Amino acid sequence: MSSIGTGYDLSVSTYSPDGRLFQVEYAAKAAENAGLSIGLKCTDGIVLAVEKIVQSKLLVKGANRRIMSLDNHVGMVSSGLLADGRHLAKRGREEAQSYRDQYGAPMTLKALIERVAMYEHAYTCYGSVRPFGISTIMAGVDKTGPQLYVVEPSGSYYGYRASAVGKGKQLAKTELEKLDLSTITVKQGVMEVARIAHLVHDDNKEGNFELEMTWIGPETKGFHEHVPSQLLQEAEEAAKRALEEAMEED
Amino acid sequence: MNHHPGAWGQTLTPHQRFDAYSSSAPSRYQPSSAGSGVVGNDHGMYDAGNEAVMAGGTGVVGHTQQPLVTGTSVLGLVFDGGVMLAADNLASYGSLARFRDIQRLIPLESSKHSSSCLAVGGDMSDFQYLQKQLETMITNERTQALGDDHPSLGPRQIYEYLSNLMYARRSKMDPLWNAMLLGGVKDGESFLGYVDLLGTTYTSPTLASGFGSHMAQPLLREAYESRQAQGKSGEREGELMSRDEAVAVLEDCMKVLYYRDARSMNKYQIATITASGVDISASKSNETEWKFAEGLRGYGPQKQ
Amino acid sequence: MADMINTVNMERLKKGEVNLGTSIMAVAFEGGVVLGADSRTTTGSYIANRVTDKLTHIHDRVYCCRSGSAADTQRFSASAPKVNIDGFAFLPFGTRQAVADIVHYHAQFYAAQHDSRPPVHTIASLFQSLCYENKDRLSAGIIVAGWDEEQGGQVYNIPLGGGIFRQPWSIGGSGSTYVYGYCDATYKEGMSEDETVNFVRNTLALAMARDGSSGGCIRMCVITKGGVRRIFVPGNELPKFWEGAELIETKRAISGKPEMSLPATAGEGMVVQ
Repeated sequence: MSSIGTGYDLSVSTYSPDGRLFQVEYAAKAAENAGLSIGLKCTDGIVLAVEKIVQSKLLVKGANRRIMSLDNHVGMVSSGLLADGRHLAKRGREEAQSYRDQYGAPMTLKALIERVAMYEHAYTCYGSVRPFGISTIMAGVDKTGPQLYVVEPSGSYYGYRASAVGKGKQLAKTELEKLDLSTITVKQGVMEVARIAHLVHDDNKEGNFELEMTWIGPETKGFHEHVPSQLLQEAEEAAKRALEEAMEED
Repeated sequence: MNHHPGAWGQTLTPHQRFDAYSSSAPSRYQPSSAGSGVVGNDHGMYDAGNEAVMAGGTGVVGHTQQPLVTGTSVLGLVFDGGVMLAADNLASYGSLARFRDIQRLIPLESSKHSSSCLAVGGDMSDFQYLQKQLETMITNERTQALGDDHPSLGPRQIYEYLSNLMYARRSKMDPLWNAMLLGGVKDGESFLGYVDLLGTTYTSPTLASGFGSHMAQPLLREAYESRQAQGKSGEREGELMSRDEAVAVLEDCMKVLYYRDARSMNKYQIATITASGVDISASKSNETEWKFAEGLRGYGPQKQ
Repeated sequence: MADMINTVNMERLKKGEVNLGTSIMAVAFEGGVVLGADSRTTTGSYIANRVTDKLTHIHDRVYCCRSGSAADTQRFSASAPKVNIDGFAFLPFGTRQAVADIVHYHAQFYAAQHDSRPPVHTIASLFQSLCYENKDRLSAGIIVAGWDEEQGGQVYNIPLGGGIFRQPWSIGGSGSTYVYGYCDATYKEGMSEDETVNFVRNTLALAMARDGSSGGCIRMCVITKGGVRRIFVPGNELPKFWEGAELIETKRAISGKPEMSLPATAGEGMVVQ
């Protein structure tokens, strides 16, 4: 690690001789080590989930919600620095509202992610600021159907059928790749996402976690809402059963 | 300046228009004397057309306008299990029945805890502005609702917001030219309130705006009170109308208004707000009675 | 009241300003929309231009037609208020064209940013906010019509106060008040493109025949997925309807046969009429 940076990581506005922006890379590290977030685009909507490591037994169960709404039809979850995520969500809401005011129509995900990514990118251009320490999944249903994007601290963004960010994202993505994403519905998606979250999580290493999940689908009439607690409970129980069965087989 | 009530809404001659105590310089231009004259005050609302005339050409921003495309009265009624609102589908342009397929009942929010709906009369462009403001506010609240213990909106909160907005605008001498009813149900409790362009507010189990406040409100009250009285003498004290009874009395009121309000139309909708949400009916019409007039001849002694 | 709105108040116009008493119309049909307008521009009762084009291009598949007049330009320049959109200050404008120019700019901006054409509704919303926010300075009634991938042919009416109303057909301008009944009686859902063009042509011809502030030629735009097609009807080829009764024979004949013939000679007896 001693070679890292070597003086070129003090400012985000300074490149290293081999063309890297170390501060941006460190920001990505902050995101990679935080609790896992999963996003899934289904045929009839989207599902978002986040693994919340229980930091203290003194915290109220189910409190400290992490998934946010940017507009009626757009949800967002990020892994990394919580406050950075909240700040980005605030910006996203403002963008979505100003678009509504100007054009009299809800913003498409494509337009919104562009604006949000531009905002994040601006934080990689000035020496006086630090980049966002978060990887963000933004998903929603607009006039073009369900959409899902991921923005990195660098301000670059890509559209996906499903993705995961945070700790264990590789394993989660491998599991997501196994799904038939061209036919999956949000109801099935909730079950699969719960299963993957439980599969990826390692209780021994990371301690207990809570699973928070939201969706947009036929059941929510196009609004971004929490997955009903009963359905979430069913999904988690099914996930745990599936894990136990897999363990017995091994 | 003549402050006599008889002079209200009258257009002024340039001589009368001159105000020696005005804080702004008199205009070099003669503002129109006929242009922004008095508009028929069909909506039971304050008419400040004259202020527009006086503001014109003085270099002072003339805020106070006049309603152009207008909807007429709206009705509201509390019944057993919720609230009902009624409004016809007409937007008039003066006496021209210009838009005959617009909806003046707007569902605002509906969740498992609460539902609200708004019925609007008056200027339709201001109504659309208001609708946007309310939607912005409600969307903003909804985006926060995923967080921990965010207090949820209900009809009373929306009514308070609406009242503040209307009063703030009239205080800027730039009112939103509307009179409206907000109906809703939250945690099983019904709410019905009135707000208008002056920021005036009141709540009651039966309400009506404009022409309706003269002609429908007595009918609504009679129906409401007779049901209450029946309840008192019987076993169920303070009983409310059933859903069917409420629809019947609203239909009756809409018919009376169609007979007597020259800015009304026999095509209207009823919104039913209950714990299970906001249900807005398809447009409907009332049967009307004209047969009795066939034998009428002339205006007095005439027989043929 | 309608009379007050529809007849242009000349005192509110700047001295010598041209006014747009007009007849405009738009009708949607399966697959597109037809816009139409007369071509008369008047200054008082003098026809300043008899071949005006009142159909304004906004974007590839959206046009608008405007009626009314740029309000009090005196007040406009005296107090110099500016229409300010997104930090772009536009100088006080003397004509309605400014509104269309601003929306045209926004439409181009939208297309560049979204890499797709702005929906008709979006353009109508832009017009609506300009009209609503400047209602004390503008007296423009606007019909926005066009075609987009999402909703096909659409017509939006933005009347004086700055409200927005989507309609299957819409008429506007001083001439429109004479033909509401004709439109109600004639319009049918599911008309073909040709039927729609005829409906627009006939309605405008009737409006122009009765409204002194409208006249000249008929210009039409047919907007479909494929593009915009212009149709021009010269003033001498307008569809004809009833144009008043034939004048009575006796009134026309100034030096004809006398109405009553006197007896030629006293001896032939009286002619009984």
